Amino acid sequence: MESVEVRLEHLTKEYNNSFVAVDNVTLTVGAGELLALLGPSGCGKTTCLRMIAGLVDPTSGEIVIGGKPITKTPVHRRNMGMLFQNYALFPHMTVAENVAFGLEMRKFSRSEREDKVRKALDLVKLGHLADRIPSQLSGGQQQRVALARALVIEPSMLLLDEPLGALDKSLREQMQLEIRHLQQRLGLTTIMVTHDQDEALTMADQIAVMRAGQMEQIASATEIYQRPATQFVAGFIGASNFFEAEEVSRDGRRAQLVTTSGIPLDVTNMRLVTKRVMVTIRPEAITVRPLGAEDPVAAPNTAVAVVEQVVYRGFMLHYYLRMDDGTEVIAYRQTQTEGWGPVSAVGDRVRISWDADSNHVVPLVAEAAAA
Amino acid sequence: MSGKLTGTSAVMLYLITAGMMAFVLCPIVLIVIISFSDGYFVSFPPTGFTTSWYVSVFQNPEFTGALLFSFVLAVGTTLLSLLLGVPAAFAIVRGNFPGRALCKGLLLSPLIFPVLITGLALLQLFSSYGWSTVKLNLLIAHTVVTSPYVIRTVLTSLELVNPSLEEAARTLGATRWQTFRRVIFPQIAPGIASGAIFCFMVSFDNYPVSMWLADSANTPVPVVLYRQIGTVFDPSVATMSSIIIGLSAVVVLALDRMVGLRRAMAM
Repeated sequence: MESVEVRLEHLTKEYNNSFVAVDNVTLTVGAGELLALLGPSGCGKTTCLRMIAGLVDPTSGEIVIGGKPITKTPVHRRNMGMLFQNYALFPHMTVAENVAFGLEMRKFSRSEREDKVRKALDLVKLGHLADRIPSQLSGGQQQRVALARALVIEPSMLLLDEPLGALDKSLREQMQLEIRHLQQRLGLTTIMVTHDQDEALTMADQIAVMRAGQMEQIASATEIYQRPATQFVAGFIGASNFFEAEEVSRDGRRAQLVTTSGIPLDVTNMRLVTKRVMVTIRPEAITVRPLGAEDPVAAPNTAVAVVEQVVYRGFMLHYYLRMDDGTEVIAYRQTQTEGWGPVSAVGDRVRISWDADSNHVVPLVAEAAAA
Repeated sequence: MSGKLTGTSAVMLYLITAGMMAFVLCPIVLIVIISFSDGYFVSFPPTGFTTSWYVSVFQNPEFTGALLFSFVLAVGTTLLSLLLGVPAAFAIVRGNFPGRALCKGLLLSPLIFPVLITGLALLQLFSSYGWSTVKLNLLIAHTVVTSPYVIRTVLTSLELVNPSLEEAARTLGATRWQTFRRVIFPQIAPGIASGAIFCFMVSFDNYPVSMWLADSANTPVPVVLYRQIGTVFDPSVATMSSIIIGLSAVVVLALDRMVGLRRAMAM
């Protein structure tokens, strides 16, 4: 199978000339890469995927696969493998007949079909279930059959529409790794729709975060978590603490800021030119210590807060804190490390602090746009 | 619902069920018994046993002709109803056009209009256009009355078909027609079959519409039956009825064998 590059150029979908589901989306998925379209429900990610599949006609824009525009190609000639959330297996056909369906449409001879079906089912480790009907299979097995059915036609690319949403957590994680492994082995360019950030982080080479039909950020998993481009991305992928802050002084990329509640911040990567910005800090970057008398009162990147709630979440302790001016702060502390036990009880005043490198700056969203 | 009823409530339930079955079946059984009665008038209990009414009824060309006519009319009506009803149901469920709900309501409306009035209205329509081909008029009229049954059952079964099955078939390379034939049709076949049975039965024993439109050369069997009762009230009427009941049962059982009616009716 030859890997192809997939490009979306200014892809737009309007419904009834009023509601814009997908607004001028442009992106490139490298050959053999897996891109996850991530976003809250209604953000346009599914519409995007369905336009690539040919199930929805774009209002404008172009879809280019392997250098060839396919926007006008009807769905049944696009040669795409697609997985659906509810598996969409044909209930009146056996597993083998399901997998053979695409080959029949392509007029393969019976012997070729049998051969290819057997290989495809072996690929997903279901060769022994060829004669079952879908309702006799578990959810995970059904989605594997759907995967075999999609792969057997040797598609130019794979489209996954929340394929694991109906499975329970541990099976979902196993299938994520399995699909990812298969996708990499076959070098199959893949676009996946998900609202599950863990799934996107686990499986994707690139994550495209969408919001209200528009692309917020496209980047690798590390990049998107460490350096979110916007406040929305910072809040949607993982949790974040947000402080609105104003620049006091700047020296190259280093800067001194002060938050609206008066906390001085040292920033090592002041990448914006605006004076007023939003600073995001990941909860796991914040250290919680009992309040000591020797602490300097106004050192940068520290603050005093009251513990409102401590939640034990297995490998993490979650501290819900409130600063004196009412700002809420979340801090995570890893468990199972030396002396991890709760350092503070509810109602204690604590010192919170973090590294200057943990301060990440994103544009301040105007009130109107935020609403 | 889990657990079975026990004690008094179970006994009550059995009694009510038995009563209902008796209520439904008794008249039919009575008619079949009378059809073997060895007397010149309808009476119960029957005065003896004879099959001579069956012999004479089958030698009555008016009755056998009407029976054949009704059978052909019911088959034609069923086919025409399927031809119109299946695509109509498909358009209502999968289509994306304004006024879909209104369309559905109008297509199903013959179910709630009094059939007698529908028949009269059609008679006026046909005569005002000067359509005097009685066979065709009957076919059209019966289809008006029966097509909602097909639309209703196919609608129900189509609504249960997951739309992503069609999408999966399409992405796997199936054209619209291939998708319908290979994926949709097998899913809705029981619905189509039960619609067809309703059509056949409603057409086969329809009196109120046929009454307005039939003439002496084209007489469906219920009309003949009614005339017969008006003329002479002997057991031959019961015999004719028994034959109709038997024929209906054969059609239903045959369809059941073909597509599994229990599955269709369960929907």
